[in-house]
Amino acid sequence: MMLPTSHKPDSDKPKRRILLLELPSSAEISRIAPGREERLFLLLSIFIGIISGLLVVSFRMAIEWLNVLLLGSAPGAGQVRLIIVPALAGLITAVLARYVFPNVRGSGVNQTKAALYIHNGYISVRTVVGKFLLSALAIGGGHSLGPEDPSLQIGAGVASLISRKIGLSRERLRIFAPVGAAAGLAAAFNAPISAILFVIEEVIGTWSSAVLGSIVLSAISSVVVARWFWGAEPMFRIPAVTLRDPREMLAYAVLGLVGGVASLVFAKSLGYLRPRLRNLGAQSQMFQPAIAGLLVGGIGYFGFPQVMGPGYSAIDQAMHAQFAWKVLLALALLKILATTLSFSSGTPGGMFAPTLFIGAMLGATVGTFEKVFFPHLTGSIGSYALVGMGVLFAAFLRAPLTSVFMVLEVSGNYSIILPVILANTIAYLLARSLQPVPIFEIFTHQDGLDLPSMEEQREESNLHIEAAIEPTTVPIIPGNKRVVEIRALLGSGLPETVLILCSDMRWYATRGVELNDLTSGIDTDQEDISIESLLGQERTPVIFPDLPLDTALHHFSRWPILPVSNRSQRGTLEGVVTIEGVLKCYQQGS
Amino acid sequence: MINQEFETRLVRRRLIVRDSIFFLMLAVVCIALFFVTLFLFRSFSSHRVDLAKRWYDRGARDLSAHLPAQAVTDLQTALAYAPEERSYQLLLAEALSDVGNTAEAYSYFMNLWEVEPGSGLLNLQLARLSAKMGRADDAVHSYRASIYGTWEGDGTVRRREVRLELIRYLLDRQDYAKAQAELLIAAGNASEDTSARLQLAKLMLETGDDNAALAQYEKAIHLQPSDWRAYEAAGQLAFRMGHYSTARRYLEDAARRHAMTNDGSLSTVSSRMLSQSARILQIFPGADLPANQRLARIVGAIQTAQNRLKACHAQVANNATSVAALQPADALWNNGHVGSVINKLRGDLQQQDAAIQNIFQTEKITQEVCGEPNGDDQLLLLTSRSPEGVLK
Repeated sequence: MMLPTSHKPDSDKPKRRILLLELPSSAEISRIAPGREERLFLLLSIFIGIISGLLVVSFRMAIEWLNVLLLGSAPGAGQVRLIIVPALAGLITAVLARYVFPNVRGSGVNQTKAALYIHNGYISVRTVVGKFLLSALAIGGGHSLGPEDPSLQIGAGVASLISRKIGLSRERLRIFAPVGAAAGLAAAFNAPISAILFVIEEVIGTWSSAVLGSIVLSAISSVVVARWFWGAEPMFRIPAVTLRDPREMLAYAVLGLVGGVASLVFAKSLGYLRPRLRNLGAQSQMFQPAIAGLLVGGIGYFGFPQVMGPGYSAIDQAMHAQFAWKVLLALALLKILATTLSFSSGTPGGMFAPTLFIGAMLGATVGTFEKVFFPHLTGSIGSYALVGMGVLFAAFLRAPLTSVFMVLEVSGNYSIILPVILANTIAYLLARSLQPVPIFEIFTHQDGLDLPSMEEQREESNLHIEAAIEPTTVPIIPGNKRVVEIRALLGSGLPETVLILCSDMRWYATRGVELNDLTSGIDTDQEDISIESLLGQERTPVIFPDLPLDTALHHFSRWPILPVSNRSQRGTLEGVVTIEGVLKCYQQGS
Repeated sequence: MINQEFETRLVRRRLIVRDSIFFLMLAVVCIALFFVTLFLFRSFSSHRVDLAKRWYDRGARDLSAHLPAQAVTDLQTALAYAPEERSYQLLLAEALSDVGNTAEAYSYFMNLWEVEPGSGLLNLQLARLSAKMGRADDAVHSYRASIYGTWEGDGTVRRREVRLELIRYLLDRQDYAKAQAELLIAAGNASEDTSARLQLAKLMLETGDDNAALAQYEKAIHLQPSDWRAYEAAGQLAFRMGHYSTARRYLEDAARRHAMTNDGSLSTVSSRMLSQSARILQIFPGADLPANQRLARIVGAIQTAQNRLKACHAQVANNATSVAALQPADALWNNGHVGSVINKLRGDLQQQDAAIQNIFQTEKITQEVCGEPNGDDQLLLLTSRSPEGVLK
């Protein structure tokens, strides 16, 4: 993967000219107009959503138009152009990707993550344009890839461009990439909830309230735009979804197992072929998309044109029981092969649509198989195809939450939730145990990058103060104690640290030496004043056991220990936290 | 200090102006991009509509040419470009049904039905497919939903046709009770149309309700007295019911009207029924006849029956079992020759009725032993089945 080695955000440059208005640095802007970025953030999210939505509509249109122009209005087996067109499209894509748009290879998900974690949210305009054109040509030309992941990157690119132009701080620039990504994906999927969840699960990795509002706004704006053009209908017609008999759950469990194994096969194929093709010479890489196109076209020519392109119409047909189970199985296996070839060759395009295709075919296979052999047991084949899509999404893309909501959002039917959760969980757990490293992480490693693992990040256990609490062994001095009494106390031996309970029921932690210095400077005629009156207004911060552990860290530069208070009884001490205790806790990981 | 505050205010103003201009530009970009996308989308959509229409027309042609498999491919392509087009979906579902993909066709119709559950046409298609799949309850339910559903065009005619289809389905399943109930409703709702009455009468015949069927034929005659078909059908039914007087009347009328239309003569069956009815009315010793005439007919019938018995004896003379089977008939005529019988019958209506019963009994026994009779024997046998209806 060719990613820019140097980033170009220039928001921190001291001077900037826009419309002949000289502006100070972003740090100075923050000082002069402190709430500006927050205010702009939400408004910009809406604009990002609208522009991303319009671009994604155009992108899908371009794909379909190219598909009709290049492969004909009814591509069928035996048509020679099915072989020629993908090969030519691959060749043109490779040449343009090498000489004009060097950063457009791949699906777009990892590139967006790289923009977020490495390039401070920077995605160049050239990359966006290249992604749009080359992905449209490749997918429209019959390569077995989908438009969703490129849409995600296009959205992120739009967000990056807009946030750069308005001159936001580096931190904000970084946050805008997932906002745009959600917008792009939502418009491509026509499913805002799934898009938001996917971006949180796979791009950001954690629920961040700072960015969630913007992601929601941009996703909804883009879906409103997309639906204005395409209508509110999902990408495929959803058949009546039923769960006739609780015994059918067994069949859905089998589907989960099949999906887990299929995702393993798919991931292994990509993990094997992609690095090998990438390690070949640059000249060879120029021809790889063409050869992949030739092979994918060959699959279409010899009887399975359904595997070419994103394959939505084939998914629709599978959902409506238009294939025999052997054909469905063949389509699933051939799609794995075709997508592995197209994607590994470096042709720009996404993995979502092929994943849904394979899942739908496997689901329909299980459904049809049961309809034939256990007619009393099975529900509609469409239900199995629908659940199958979620299964592969959970197992292959490792986005279990998105997979459940995607099926629910696409079908609009909550009666299917039990089979979806059962099958997805089985597939996800099986895939995780057989293939511990998620596919996007495999690609990241193959590209020589070191992006954070979203799966690990999601499951990271958050440490809290309670893990580092120690019993209070330090002396506790009431704040009303007189200086003379403190002197007497210190005279018997200098404690390392002392906690002083002030009259406002708050604590003051200090070292014994500091307390000694404080009291020693007091004249003897003032010895009757309380120690609290010498402490001023400052108090040790109030911390509670349930707070994240890292909240304590920065207080240790000022305070030797931190008293942990009880939330219900102010002044009641739960224990204390020390820097040594916190570090030990982090080292142990619990 | 004052100077610094002034500069800060100036920068803040600049920021506000700059941000406003930026958002204005963004709005302009959005609007421009929207119109460009809209223009392209309209062009794209109209191209898709054209493609869809082209493939739909091809599919419709293939379907009319009885090439359903090809039609399925064409219509699937059409739907790829216009997935929401209901007429395309409907035709594809029909093609799928024709090609034998019943489950798939059912699924298609179900999808359409979910959007329009009150559609008469969709319910009819679902009923037919349910019937094909052997789901009788679903089929009847869908037929009824179709009857009470909405129809484009002449809903009354379509509903009647669907009800007739439902009746035929019930008859095929030998569910005569339900079929009769539906027929009663159909007869009640039937329009002033001869063909409909004739159809109903035929179906009523299948349920075994001859009287209701005859009533429908008579209504049809009443509606269109010039239509010979109704007369012929009524005549034939009356003949089968043993109402030979009525049969002769209707069949004569049918023959007369048939001749008037210069459409050849009556069918062989009807002609035979007409001649047999006429002959039955000539030989049947009805109770309303003058005493002498009745007696003469009884005597004639006795002679016919006895001759048949003799002939039957001769036919089976070598077969002891058959001869033994004829003995009950012999026992009926032990009282010797015809002259004494006439004397015995004269003036005694009870004896006359008993003699008629003996004639019928003889014809039945000889039929069982010697096979189907001909001529007057055959007619006597026919009248024996329902003698009270002969003169109806």
